[in-house]
Amino acid sequence: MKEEAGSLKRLPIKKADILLALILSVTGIFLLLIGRLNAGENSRLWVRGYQDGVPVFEYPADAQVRTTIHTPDKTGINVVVIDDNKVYVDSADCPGKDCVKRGIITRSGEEIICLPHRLVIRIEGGEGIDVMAD
Amino acid sequence: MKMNSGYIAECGLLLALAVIAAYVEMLIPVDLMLPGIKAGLANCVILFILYRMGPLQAMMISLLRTMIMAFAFTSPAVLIYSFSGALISIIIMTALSKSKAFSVYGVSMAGGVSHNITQLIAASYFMLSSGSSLSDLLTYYLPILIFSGIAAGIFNAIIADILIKRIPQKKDRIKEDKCTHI
Repeated sequence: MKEEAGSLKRLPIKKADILLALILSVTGIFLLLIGRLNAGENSRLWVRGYQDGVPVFEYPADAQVRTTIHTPDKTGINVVVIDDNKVYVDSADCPGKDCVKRGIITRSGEEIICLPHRLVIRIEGGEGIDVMAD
Repeated sequence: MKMNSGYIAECGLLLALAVIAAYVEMLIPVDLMLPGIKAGLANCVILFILYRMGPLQAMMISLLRTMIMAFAFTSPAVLIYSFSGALISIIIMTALSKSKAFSVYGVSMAGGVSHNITQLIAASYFMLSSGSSLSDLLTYYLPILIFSGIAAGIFNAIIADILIKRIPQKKDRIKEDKCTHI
């Protein structure tokens, strides 16, 4: 190849090569971004309530909900409020009212526990890493 | 293309070189994020053949290499992945090298990326049935394989570029041998 004889040191990269690398990289980054957005969708926070370990309600954390949870024997109530990622027990008729005093929870993993009514309200989800790992 | 003994010997030599390159790479354990990520060292031999002997020889040696690797070192069960990857990548590399708009760098990158994408497509049936979701394949495996294909392509192109420049076309080489030493 005569035209290459004098260019031992020079890189032969052409415009089309750089264009190809750019197109491929942009495609890759684009796909990764889509994945990120999807992961964000999958990692929505959920507010779940469990009474005696049994699920009793489930709402997206960004919902606007005011719900009254009755104990299984219908003797006690907890009024749970979910307001745009803030979750709290507004009122309850349990002794001590620890669930009301617990105040607002906002992050995944946090929970409000009402021991007399054996009620657990927990924010779950948001673990985008798990989605990636499997 | 003349089938003389020198030509056959040269093809055999380059095939052996391609097998050895892939074998050496197999011996070095690189544990990156995905099993598919590797430099694909054999591809710099294939690139050299593509530029210095021709697409037909490159394709023959590339496909024979995957078969030899599968039967000798890995397992015939993985042949479908390596064979399809080698086939599609050599077709794309041949097309790009004919177009003259691309240098060995572009050709090598396209080969690496197309090899990876083909393997992912071949593996997708197995992966989907074993629990991976389609969005994982498209938004996690695919971009990683694209980037590793670009990186491996550039790496191989650097080596192939040096080889192609240092070792001239065969007919030029015979002329040189007559007038120079060695």
